[in-house]
Amino acid sequence: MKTHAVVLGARFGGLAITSWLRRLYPAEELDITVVDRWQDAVYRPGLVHAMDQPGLNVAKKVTMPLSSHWKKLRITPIQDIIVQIDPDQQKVYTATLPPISYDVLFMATGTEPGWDRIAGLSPRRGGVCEAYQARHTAWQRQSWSQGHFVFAAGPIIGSPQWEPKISVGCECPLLESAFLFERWLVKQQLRTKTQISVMTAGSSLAENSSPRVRQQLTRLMAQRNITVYTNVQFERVTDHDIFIKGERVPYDRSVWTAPMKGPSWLTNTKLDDGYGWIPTNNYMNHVRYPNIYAVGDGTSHPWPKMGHSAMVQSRVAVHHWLAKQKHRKLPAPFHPYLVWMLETGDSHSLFSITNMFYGGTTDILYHGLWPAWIKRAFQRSYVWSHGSLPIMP
Amino acid sequence: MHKLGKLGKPYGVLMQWGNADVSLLEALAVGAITGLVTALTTLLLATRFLIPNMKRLAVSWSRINLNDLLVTVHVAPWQTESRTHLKPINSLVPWRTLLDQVAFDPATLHPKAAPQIQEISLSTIIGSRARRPLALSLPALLIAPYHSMGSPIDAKLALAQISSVAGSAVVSGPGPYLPAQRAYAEHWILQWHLGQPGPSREMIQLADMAEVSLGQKSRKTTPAKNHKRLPLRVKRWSAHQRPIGLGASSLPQLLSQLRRGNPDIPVGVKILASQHLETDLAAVIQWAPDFITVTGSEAQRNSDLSDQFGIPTAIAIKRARDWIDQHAMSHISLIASGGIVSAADIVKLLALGANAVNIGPHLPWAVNQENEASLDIGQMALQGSRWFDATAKNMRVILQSLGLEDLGDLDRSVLYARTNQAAGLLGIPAAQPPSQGRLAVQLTALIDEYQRLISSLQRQVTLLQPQAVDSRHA
Repeated sequence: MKTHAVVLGARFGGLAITSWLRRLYPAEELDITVVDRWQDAVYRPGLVHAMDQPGLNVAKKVTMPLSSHWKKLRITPIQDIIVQIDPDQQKVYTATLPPISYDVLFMATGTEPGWDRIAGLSPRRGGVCEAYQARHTAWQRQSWSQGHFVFAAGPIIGSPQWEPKISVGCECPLLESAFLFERWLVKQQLRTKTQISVMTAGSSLAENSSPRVRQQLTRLMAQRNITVYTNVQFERVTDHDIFIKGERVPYDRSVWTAPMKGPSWLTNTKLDDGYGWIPTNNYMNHVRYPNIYAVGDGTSHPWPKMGHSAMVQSRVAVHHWLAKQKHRKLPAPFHPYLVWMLETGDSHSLFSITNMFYGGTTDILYHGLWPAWIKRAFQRSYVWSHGSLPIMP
Repeated sequence: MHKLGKLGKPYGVLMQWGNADVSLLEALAVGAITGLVTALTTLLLATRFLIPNMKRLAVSWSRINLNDLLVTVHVAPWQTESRTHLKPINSLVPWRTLLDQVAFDPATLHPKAAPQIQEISLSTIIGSRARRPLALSLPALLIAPYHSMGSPIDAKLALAQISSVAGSAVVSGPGPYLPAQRAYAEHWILQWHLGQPGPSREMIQLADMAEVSLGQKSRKTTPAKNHKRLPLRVKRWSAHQRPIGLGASSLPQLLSQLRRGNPDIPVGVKILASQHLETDLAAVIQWAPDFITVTGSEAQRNSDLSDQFGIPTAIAIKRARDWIDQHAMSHISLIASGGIVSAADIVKLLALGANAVNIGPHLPWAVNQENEASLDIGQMALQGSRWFDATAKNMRVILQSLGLEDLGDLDRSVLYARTNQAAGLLGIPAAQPPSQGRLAVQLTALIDEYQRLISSLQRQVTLLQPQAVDSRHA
């Protein structure tokens, strides 16, 4: 009898899981069903170029239609919104379709943008995290002439149990956007007419990196004359002002990464930790249900909420399940570390690998041209292969 | 007598132009230049306006009237809201709708001149008594078209994206449920046409607002399962659809089912504006809706005969607002639908009494800027969001010109009628009424006020009567 694996989500984590599953299991042995709400997948880190390239081109370059990919991998796609999971009955419920039974469940459902967590905040304030936002932001940027442009990162509404504590989810795209915009302004001879600010709820820039990375980033920000606000407690946003605790900051345009929270539908299941996040061990296995795995941003850990982490976690999860099924040696568990290739403009990137925030000693940092080349090559390969890279991290 | 030759006029003097003699050569030269300029102008106009829109015009021809055609030709090349009402073309289309016969009364010295407003709020709330009212940054709900230029699914997804960046909401519209539409939209309004298979409880729970449409098109929608060439996902959806409840075919039952499905959200009804609008409102009110959408005759509907039914949107909103206020039900939000194409239209309808408006089928035209046969979702979404940006900006300009800071401050006093007909129909003062007309308008307004007063008093007497009986017994 064939086993049925259901994968929830088709972004970094979901695509990596399906890729690993199909590499390790032939279609005769394993049925795979993917449930996702979106028509296409988008390589979202590439959307930061909305700040220095035409928006339509940027979005097109990173959009991956998945139908042929699913067909090629002999995977059944289901496009719908997940509303409930019954882990005892082993069923996934969607908004309109019959319940989907599973033998093993891989959850890569990510997080939910918490726009409602800050009064007055909504997608219309600008952003580069979704293709439609990036297009709009790019169009607004093209008509920019002068004023105050703010890049703001909302807080993460995490679990109080997390250790070490993190106060922001993912600010890498935001910092990249600020750097790319600054370089674009210089080319357009608008830099002297523009004030750029970066606001983050984090205790410092890149709080889950290392002191060296933070110093380098602070130095770069100062060189580019970008004002940095840290530990920001956002209270309210209007069309012209951002109210932070004790201060009103007038602005003209903004780009936001929304506050990050666990999916609200998870709180109706038995799967979350009470705060909307999925608790797992270091093999990404659910702490109460052995046939459920979770990877990526939605897991109840303060680990880096980035695509690279989700891909590595997917490898660990699938290999762990394989080892359990075939009674093989368990793979190495997941150990968190941060990998950044942060574009700083002028074809330069800041490359860093560090686990110091998580108690390790690795701290590699390089700023130059080749990280930017590697990043571009990775993006092209990823989009070309629909997330199923010849060599997976 | 004109001289020939030897005078620098090689072909002799042909004619006199004022005091100057004009030779044949000069006349030919002038003629050639004039012809060239005319040809170039014609070519330019054709290239700029006509040719890019030929396909659109061909598609549109069977659907719209001459006025709409002229506006379309005029609007399409610029695609910004601010250009939709330029005077040259409007001089060919004197009064497109009744709303065009209404203008704003700008703030000058009296009333108070417009303040320097840094931030004008366009936000509105629909269904204020619901547990989770719908709060919008822009009082315009995007409604999916029946006849879009491209794929209806693409248009729906583009509209959902537009609604999120515009701070508005998107109405699910006819046809199958699209998960991506819900995912893209920050606020998603589940619209349910009476007679369609009902949405699942889970779908209702995903909605931010629910609307039952009672329009004539509601029973015309072809079941999706009858189509052979639908994507697998749509067929699967169609096969799984189940009625919301057995026998839930009447409006009260449907509303009650929706409320049970999601007790937090505003639930309302969409009706066509008829001459017996007040009777319809009285019937709808007894089911305690959170909002009522009134569709005027300008709405483009799925039938060639549709335009022959109903009353204009502006009159419908005026009458509906009067009726709602007279019955002390101002907690029920009023949404205007039909023929709304510009910021001015939106503000006028809000001044007449609407809380929000539906922006509908014209939008694919507004977004279809490029000359290509079809646009992808991204292009449609970008063009549409640009249109909404311009619309919001123009609405702020209008409010600023009226000396107002908030949409909630709008009322009919900011409007005046350009024609006596509009003044009479909408109960607003005319710009230059003839002396007899002015008296008539004033008398009409006075009678209206007395009628309101009398009906209000009658209601109060009715309310007091049972208490009087009780006190006698006590």
